[in-house]
Amino acid sequence: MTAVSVRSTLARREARRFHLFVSPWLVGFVLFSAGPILAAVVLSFMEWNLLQSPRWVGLANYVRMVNDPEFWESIENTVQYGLGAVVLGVSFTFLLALLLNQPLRFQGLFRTVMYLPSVVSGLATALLWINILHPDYGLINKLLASVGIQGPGWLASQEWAIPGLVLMSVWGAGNTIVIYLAGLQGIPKTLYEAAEIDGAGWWRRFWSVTVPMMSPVIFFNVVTGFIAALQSYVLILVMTEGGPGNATMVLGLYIYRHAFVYFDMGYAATLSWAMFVLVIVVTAIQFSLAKRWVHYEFK
Amino acid sequence: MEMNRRQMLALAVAAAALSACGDSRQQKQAAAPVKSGAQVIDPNRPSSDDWPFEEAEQLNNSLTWPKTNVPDPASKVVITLGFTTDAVTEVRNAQFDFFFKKRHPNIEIKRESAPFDQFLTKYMAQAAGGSLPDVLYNHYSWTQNLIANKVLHPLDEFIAKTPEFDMDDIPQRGLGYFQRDGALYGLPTDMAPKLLFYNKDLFDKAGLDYPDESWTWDKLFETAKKMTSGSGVEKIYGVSPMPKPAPDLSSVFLMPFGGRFLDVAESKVMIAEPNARDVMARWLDLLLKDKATPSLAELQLLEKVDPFKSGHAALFINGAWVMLELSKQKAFKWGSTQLPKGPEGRTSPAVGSALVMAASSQNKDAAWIYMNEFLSASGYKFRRIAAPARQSAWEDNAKALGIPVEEADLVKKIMAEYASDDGVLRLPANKKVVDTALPIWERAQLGKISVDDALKEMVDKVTPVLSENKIA
Amino acid sequence: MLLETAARPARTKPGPPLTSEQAERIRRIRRSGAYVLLIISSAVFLLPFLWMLTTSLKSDADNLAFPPQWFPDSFHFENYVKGWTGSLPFNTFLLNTIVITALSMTGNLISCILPAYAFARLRARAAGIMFTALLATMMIPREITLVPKFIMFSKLGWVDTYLPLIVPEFFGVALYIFLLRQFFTTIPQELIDAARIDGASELRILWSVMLPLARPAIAAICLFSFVGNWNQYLENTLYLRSMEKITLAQGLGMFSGQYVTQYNQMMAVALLSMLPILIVFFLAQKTFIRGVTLTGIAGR
Repeated sequence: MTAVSVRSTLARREARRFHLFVSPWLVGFVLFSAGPILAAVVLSFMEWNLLQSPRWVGLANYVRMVNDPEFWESIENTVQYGLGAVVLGVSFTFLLALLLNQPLRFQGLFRTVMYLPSVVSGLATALLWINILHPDYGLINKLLASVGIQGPGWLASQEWAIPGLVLMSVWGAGNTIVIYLAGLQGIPKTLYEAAEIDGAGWWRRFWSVTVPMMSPVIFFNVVTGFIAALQSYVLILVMTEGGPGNATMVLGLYIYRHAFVYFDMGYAATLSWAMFVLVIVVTAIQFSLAKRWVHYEFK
Repeated sequence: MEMNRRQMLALAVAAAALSACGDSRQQKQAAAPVKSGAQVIDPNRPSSDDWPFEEAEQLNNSLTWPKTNVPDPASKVVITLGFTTDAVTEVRNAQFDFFFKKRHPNIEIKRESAPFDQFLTKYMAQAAGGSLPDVLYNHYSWTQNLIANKVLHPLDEFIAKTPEFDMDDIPQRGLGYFQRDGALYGLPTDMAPKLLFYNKDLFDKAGLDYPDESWTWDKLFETAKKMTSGSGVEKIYGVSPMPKPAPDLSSVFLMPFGGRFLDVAESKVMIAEPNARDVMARWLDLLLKDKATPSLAELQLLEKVDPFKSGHAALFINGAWVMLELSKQKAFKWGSTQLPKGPEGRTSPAVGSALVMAASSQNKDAAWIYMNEFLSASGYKFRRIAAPARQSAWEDNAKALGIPVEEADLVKKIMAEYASDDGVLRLPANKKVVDTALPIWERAQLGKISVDDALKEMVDKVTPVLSENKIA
Repeated sequence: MLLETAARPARTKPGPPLTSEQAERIRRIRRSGAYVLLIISSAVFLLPFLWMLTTSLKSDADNLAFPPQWFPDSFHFENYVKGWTGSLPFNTFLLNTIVITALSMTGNLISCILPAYAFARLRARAAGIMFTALLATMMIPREITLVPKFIMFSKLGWVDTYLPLIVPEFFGVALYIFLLRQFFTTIPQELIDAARIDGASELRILWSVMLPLARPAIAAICLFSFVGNWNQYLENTLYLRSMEKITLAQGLGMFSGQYVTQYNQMMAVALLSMLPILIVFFLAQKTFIRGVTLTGIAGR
């Protein structure tokens, strides 16, 4: 046997194993997801109110979407919210995770406390934040007032509603912390020791050991954080219903409305594919940037 | 590390144990399908703190249950009910079903419940999946859409077969939501007008007379300004809440002045026309200049909790159904009267929800037998709801619920004299109309655009939506 | 770790070496700094919990206070009893929730590990396109496949059973596969190569090299799966129709009526239904302790 054919036999065996291992997901995808996804594609060319048979309308939904000012407004709001939530969330929670990774007393307790916001009922969260962000009685504006700053109107103002929601999203990012904490356990201690022998200070150790070793995990949080933020709407629905004056009408909420309030399934499907494209573009950009900073052990 | 492995093991064991007991349960359910009310609220004795079983039994026995010429099924049938209930009413409904089944041994009941917010989503999906319940709850703003899509079965034939079913006991002017082309598709489960509530303590403190039937809207504006005081935690609003695009906007605020949000056919936006425009402009002034009515931020503070309910507003415009809640609180004394008069007289919406019958139902007779009893005067009295559509049930229920009898009489009078469905949006686009107009109005409430610009924009944006109201 | 090492001054080379006393003092200062930061942020993160707690203890009248009160005038512990047993059978709801959650979590665990390993460590021509497909399924808004899925399961006669909520969970969840894959990629290649040279099979490598090292990630997946299924609302509302089959999250929704919401009882029951999640979290976070395994081997 030649070296080439040995390699190709090995490669074939590896490929076979790959397919075998991937099959649980692949079978599930074919059984439970492929059909509904296909249906959603077809629906975007139809008009359907759930009660009558769907009717073919060609590109009408797409034409309507392109000419729908509220759709474009919602894209703008979504991108603003997504950027804010991810940039602030991913960096702030990383610092928190570093802190929570210290071998301090009550570590488990502190971690549990930081995770609490991700567990409490959505309604409690909404009521709480409506209170915290209230222009007159809210905690934040009271604090600002005590140092002589007049706080903004937050959820009651068009300009500050999205920043208010971003603030809230950071506070509820317990899952991101969990993933960071899990990731931090995988960094070999020896790397730090080696860096220390080389005379690296903590700042350099942070940048040359922690960040590169954590980069696949940070990358995961950025990618999934964006997906989640761009799709999110549940809390916004409870808190502002898209107001005031459509200032917090994000695309997810706009889709929800068309799908489950107006039961305009065709248009909701079209909007969903627009969101899909938005998310995929953002993710593709991240994957292309990832080559520059994400460090994998196996390529 | 040892510790960790133990923890993981504990998790795994717990999961396995749970899944094991889950498995057997799963099989049990597969083996014994549709057995209604198995583990819920004790099926042999439904009871709760609010609704003790003894009270229910006693009340049930004291009521006479109506007859119908629709025959009981000869063999066992199952009917499914899709209602929206909360934790409290769910138990009462279970009790109703319990006694109903005693009267009709061949009718088995499968009761479903979904919170109001999720209700339509849930049952529209069930409709698409081809399995609607036999009897369904309906908000007044949903029914026309379901009728237009031929999902519902008309009830007239059943009513005809039930001579005792006293239609005159139900306000005829409030049935428009459920009628189409001369057929009736829904029968109300509750119906109420809107009233003007006031905080007696605040009026006493200000030394002003309580509102009464002689009040005009001008008087309300004037008094609201006088009653406004304080700031921050001490703030008292003159009146709450201000008008906004909503299904009953015309009927409560605009029609007394000869204005309307949409025309009768819901095919034309009329809110920018002078009569309606002037009303909207006055309220906007009351908000922005006089700060006599709560702003967006204040109303946002707690969902469903108006400043009036906490004693921070002197006047309150709301449905008669809030009487129950007001009667339960002891923080302040309250009263109610009719909505004020305008130059064009006095109007009030009559709104309520209904029960409808699915066209797909396989057991329409049994479904009717249930509806007949649930919606009879006895049914209303048994359910003890605060705003019965059957006027003959008002006094009994008010007494049982601690609502002052004079308030009940007031409501009956309004229902008998003028409350109606006229001007209340109900055609299929109604939700979209409101959602389209509301953000524009919010910008006006924030002072971003003038009232005229806002109303003009509403006309421009709402008009195209109205084409969905043209039903073939 | 960062903190411990950071305790030694950054520029050690030029200056004279620190005495152990000085180092100890600096370490102590850093440590108390960390505590202060943690306590401040804990206070912020505890707010929602306190809010729920005080709301759950309020009287019906205090619920309406404007502006809302942080502390009730009197404490009504009976809200807990009333909420849980007063009208709705929350014990049944709890049992239903446990069944769904336990089965789904088990399904997630066994169905995510193999695909994640394959995507992380095995080469195949279709790998790229499949990974893209995997990610793509995460990006399709779930709202739009919800109704087609519902119709599909209706046709199977699965409505009002737990099957549509559980069975798909045994076929991998894209998010968890992606997460686990990221963790598998950080494991040093030498470990795998060493195992291969020893003649270990692919499954053996996965079981005895990869899984022990990815334990924190697996704990994270357990946690997410648990929380996700425990709090699942929209799907449950759609699929579960009979009262005796509904879950805690749905039961909680029933405190919110068309006109009035019983916030105090709702929060009381919400707090009770949160407890299992907190226990699972506490167990899971215990695995987030630096593994000795990693440092012990390979001599890196």
